[in-house]
Amino acid sequence: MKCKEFKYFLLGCENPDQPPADVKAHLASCADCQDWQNRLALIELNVPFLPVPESAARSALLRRILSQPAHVRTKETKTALAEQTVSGSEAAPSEPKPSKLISTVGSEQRDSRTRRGMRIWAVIRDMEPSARRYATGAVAAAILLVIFAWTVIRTPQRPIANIATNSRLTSDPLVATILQRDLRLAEAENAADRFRALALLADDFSDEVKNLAPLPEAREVLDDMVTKYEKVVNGGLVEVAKDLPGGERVKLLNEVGDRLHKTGREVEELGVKLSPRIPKASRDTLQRLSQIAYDGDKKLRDLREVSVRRPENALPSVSTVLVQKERP
Amino acid sequence: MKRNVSLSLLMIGFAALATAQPPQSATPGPERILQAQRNQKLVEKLVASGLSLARATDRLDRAKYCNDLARSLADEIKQAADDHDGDRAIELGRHLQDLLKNGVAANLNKERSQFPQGSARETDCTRIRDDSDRITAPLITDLAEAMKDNPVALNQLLDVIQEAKASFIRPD
Repeated sequence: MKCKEFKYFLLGCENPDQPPADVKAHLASCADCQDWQNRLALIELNVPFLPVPESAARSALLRRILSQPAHVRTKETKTALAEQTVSGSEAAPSEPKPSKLISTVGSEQRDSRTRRGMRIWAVIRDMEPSARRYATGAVAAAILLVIFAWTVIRTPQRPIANIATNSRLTSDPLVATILQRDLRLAEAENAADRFRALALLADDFSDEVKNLAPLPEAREVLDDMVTKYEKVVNGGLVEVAKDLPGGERVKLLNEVGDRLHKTGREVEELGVKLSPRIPKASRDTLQRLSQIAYDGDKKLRDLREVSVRRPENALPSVSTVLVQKERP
Repeated sequence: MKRNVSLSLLMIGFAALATAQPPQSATPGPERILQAQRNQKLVEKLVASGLSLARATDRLDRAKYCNDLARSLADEIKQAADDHDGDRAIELGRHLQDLLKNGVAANLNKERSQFPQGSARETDCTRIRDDSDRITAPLITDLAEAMKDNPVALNQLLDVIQEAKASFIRPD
């Protein structure tokens, strides 16, 4: 198939982000089709949020259903259903009555469920007393298992950031976290506090990138996050590191440098792990973040060496730490 | 009896199994992407402010930068109110309160305590506080109009803004 055919196929797909294996194979090798798929997935994602025009049809339909007595609704609908069954597809009812159909189907399902429940109970009642105890226990266990399963499924997942916020669309944990970092910077009275706050801010972005990376449609958001990460590392962290006071300078540079290096390695590994599932652009973005983190670590290490050459920082312990923390 | 005990133990076991599962590191859903896209500009402003704050060694400069960010938040709140998104307006209102209280007022109050009344520094503090007022006063007026159909959210929002205003120490 040509790219054009793949694109048409994706257009007709119910879930363009989960295409069949042969389409997946093509997508893995074709960046253009990958972009197309991502755009489609994003459109699919946004459709439920489109405003819909107001309509009185729903309330009118409900009024129609509720205005009829229950037995009339059931009887009429049964008749309509019978007519449909007899005449087959050739004879459609003269006037469609969806409300009646819904009512009948609902009540029949309820009847069927009740009958099934009664049958199970009758079977249990007819058993030997010992078998009856087992059966009752089994039914109770099944009910409890269903309740447990339901509880586990319904348990809300942990939010992505450390701040305990709910997961409503309006409440953005990243905004709340970054604002807290800004407030910490606003309160910081020295370079060391500012450096620590910026390191946390950088971690916030790398954590967010790691969280969003598995989503193929997050490509553009990831790119934006990595750009912000770069600003924080190069425009903030490295700049403030130059003002760090002598006493804790090396310790802080080591600590944050190690964190940057760890982030670089983790994101690199994540990129490799996710590579079959995410678009090439996302992989490149992860690689970019990884490189920024490694470069940031190197810049901090260079500053540490400068601090060693400074006479006021030439403490005996400094050179020891340097030897220990040097990377291969 | 023995069977009942066994059954109960089995149930307790299942319950423990169900509840003892470690929290999974959940991948956020696609709605997180929408949220991130929606707040892209705001996050950009927060980062820019953070970098400015990191460079500012003077408290009054930091208070000014917080005021700049508060202005951006006020614009976002106004936008949320115009969009009839009361939840978002309240959420951002709380952020604005935090920023004015712990960013602007805290720095100004600390600075005031170190300089005598009537000093040039004191005048600077008053000017920055007045800037904060110029951010919140029109917001209160605008919100009253934009959120008149959602009085509950409006009252919550006005409360947080008033509380933020009250955190400024006014010189006698």
